[in-house]
Amino acid sequence: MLRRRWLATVCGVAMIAAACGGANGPASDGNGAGNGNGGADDPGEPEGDHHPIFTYQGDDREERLLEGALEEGRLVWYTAVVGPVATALANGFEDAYPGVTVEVLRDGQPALITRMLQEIGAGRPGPDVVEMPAEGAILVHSLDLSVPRYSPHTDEIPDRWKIVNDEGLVYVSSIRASYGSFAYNTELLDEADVPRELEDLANPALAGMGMPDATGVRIIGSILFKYGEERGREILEAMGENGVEVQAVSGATVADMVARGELAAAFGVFQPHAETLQAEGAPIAWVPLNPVLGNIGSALVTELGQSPHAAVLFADFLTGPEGRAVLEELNYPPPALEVDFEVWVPNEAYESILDYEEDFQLWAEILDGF
Amino acid sequence: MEAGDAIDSTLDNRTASVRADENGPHRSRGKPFRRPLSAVHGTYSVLMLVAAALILPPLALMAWTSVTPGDPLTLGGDVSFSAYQNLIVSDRLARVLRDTAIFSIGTVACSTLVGAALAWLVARTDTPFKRLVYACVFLQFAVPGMIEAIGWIFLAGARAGLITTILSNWFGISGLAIQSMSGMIFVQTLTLAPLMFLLLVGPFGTVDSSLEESAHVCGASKLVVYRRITVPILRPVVISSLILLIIRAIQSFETPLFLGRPAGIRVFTTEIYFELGSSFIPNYATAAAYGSVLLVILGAALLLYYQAIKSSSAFATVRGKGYRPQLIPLGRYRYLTGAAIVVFFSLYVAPVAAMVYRSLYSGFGEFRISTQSYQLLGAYPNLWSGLRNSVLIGVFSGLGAVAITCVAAWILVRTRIRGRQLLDQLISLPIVIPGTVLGLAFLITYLRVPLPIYGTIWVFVLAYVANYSPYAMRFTQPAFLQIGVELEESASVSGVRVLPTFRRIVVPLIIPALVGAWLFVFFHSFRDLSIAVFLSTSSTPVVATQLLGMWVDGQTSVLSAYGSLISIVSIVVGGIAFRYARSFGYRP
Repeated sequence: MLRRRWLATVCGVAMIAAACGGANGPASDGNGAGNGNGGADDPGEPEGDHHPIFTYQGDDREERLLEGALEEGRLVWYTAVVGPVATALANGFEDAYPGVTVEVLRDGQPALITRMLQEIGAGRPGPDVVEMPAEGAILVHSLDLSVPRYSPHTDEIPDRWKIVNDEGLVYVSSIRASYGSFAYNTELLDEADVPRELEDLANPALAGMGMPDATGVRIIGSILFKYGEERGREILEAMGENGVEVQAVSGATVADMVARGELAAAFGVFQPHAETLQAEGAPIAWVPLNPVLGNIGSALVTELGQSPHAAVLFADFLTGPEGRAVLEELNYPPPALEVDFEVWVPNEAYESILDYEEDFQLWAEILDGF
Repeated sequence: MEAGDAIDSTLDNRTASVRADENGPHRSRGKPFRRPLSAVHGTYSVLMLVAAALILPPLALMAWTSVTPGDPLTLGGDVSFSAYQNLIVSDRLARVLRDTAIFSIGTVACSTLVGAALAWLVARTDTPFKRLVYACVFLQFAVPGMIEAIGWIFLAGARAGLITTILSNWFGISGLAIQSMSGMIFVQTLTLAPLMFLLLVGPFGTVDSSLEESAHVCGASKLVVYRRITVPILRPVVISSLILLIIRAIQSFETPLFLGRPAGIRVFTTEIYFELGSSFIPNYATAAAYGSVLLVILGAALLLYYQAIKSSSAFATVRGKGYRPQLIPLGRYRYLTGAAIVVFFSLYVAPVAAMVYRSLYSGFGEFRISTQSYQLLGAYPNLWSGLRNSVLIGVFSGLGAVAITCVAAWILVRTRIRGRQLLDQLISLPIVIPGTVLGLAFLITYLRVPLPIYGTIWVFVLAYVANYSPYAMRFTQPAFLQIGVELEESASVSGVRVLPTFRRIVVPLIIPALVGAWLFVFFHSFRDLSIAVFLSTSSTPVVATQLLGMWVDGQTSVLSAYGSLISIVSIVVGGIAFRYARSFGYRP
């Protein structure tokens, strides 16, 4: 209840800050938990007085963007994608547009949102572009912090993975998908003990299994989602009794720990990390346990930063073929790509982002008890 | 910081010694003389304002945040103690208290045993390799704590650590895991044992052996002499050192962060850090409540510490006479103690060596030397910005702390302004504040204060000046006490004003202390993680947060390369800097 009240206050503060800073976009319902057009914005609403470059669609758009970006010289990008991928994307952009520097703040989704809210509260400049898992991006959007922008690549993204208004202007667009599930060291875990279903995680042979804390919360959600409250908690209790090592690191680090044998197995490891290590010769295997956690990285542009031209140029890069090429090279496919396992995107199961946040807290408490 | 604590205590003893001299035949040495009131009072007032503005608002805002849980953004919520109530009702506070207590007590007990044994060996025996013990102290000072902790994970991590693997494959021994309570205590002992050594080696060396000899002559056995003579003489300094160690153990951040979390161990400092990142919504109130509870605990410990320091001066009976402690011949046990010191030294080299080894290890499978991780490091974004920021922050923090404490120490020692002790207490207050609490408090404050320094290196500089000024003060204050006041009086009589006298006479005389203080603040600001983790932004990366980012992202090879370079450069630069400082007369 307190958190709901708090979030309402944050919404108010964010809107006031946005109004003061000129980011007075259309008021959204503030509840849209799922991706897609539903709940994104009200049809026919004016776009407000955002910087005109966000919606500019003229033939000389590219030139204007580049000219403005070069004048700005830099942009600030907050991202939750793992470090090497963030670096590759930033380097790719800087190579494509010399003279425009990307200042990257890479952190977990909660930390990034926390940082943004702090900056809004303090009236400080924030990020120009944000990229994080869909639920975080939707929360940021519901706080009216994303600006509607024209993107030449909007049509290439399926409706499920974007938030657009009736004019075709995009608020949030998903750019990458990664899938988190079980990974094990092939030299340390017997094949017979490799789980085939989520409930197999209660197997005592998996005692000491690792779990990254940020992803782990949603992983717990996936177990409760599949088996329901009663059976789900039984499985989680059994896992807790066996012993789970919650690591305050990213899924990539946990994958590295499995590959090096520091952990025999881990839950919450993302497929691209495991596959990259496997390609390097590491004894690691990734097993999808249905439903697999879908981590859909979504990008949005804000007016919290100071470089609107560079922001749009970078957002175009992220959603366009150049950015996709970088991501696919690092095993991050677009979310639309078909996969041969069942995917669970947590926020899609909720009517509102506030409901999701409440359950997120419950899952966090369970993780806390491990 | 630990080396500084030792300096703190050593200098406290020296201060006590000089103060005692004031009551002796050289009473005029430290006696204040008349100054132009307006200039001195003006300086005092400005300094009080600066110190108060630096330290009090962050603490006040943090306390306020802990009782306004409804609205952390605007600080306009209703006053409520629900954050504290939630802490008490849930079992988390009890768990955090329990883990913090076990970790602190275990660390202090082990550090005291090891530190005291080393101090005794160095000060009172003819053991070989005494200089290696000082080398351990230097290594502990130069190598960032985060690198030590991660180095130990590479060495003794469960299942895949280098030592763990050898023990398992060669001897069939399993179960070694540095990520455990015992592992945490072991690593933190390596951090605090040098501090205990520095705190005790002086007192051990200055105990007048004639007292012990008299007891021997009177027929007392060695054990009785230790029990009745040596231990009572050293008791006050040991007690004050123990309290200081407890404070330092409770404040530690890196070891619990890297080694405690995987084992489910939660201490106050890490709980504050994790509380802010555990959900979409920052829980400032709970984090601030943890910080406030911790401040109360440490504040009580600090009061005990000052009591112990006060009583220790009453035991300072041994001074003013020429004496030299008699070294105890160890005989054939020399080899044993020498070997123990070499092993102890190797425990400081090992994590850095593991870091270097890991940086040269390419991919998986058999070991083959590769420079790939160094090439990857070269491409790491904002690498040079991080280095540049860390160096600049270190330089300016050192200058700021030295400037403030130099003037403050002069006021304390050379004037009789009423309330000057308040200035000392105000500047010394942050000694009790853990880095995570200070970082959180500065973050909360400078996000709201209309001063455009958030997102710049200056917010770091302010935080580090506040955090390390208590230590810098322990360099500068005794330096003033050791300088006769006659020089300044002569200048005053000759018509030279206060400022030129201070600049041309006083400062050159205390340069060694100023250089020592600057070096101390520079190195500690450069390596700090606990404050940096709260204040770093996309435009102000620093070395510590870059290392943490590499760890969190699983870029262990890049981290190893960076950690190796930082360690080696720190050791070399630190060595040169201290050698250079010696040319100014600095003696740590």
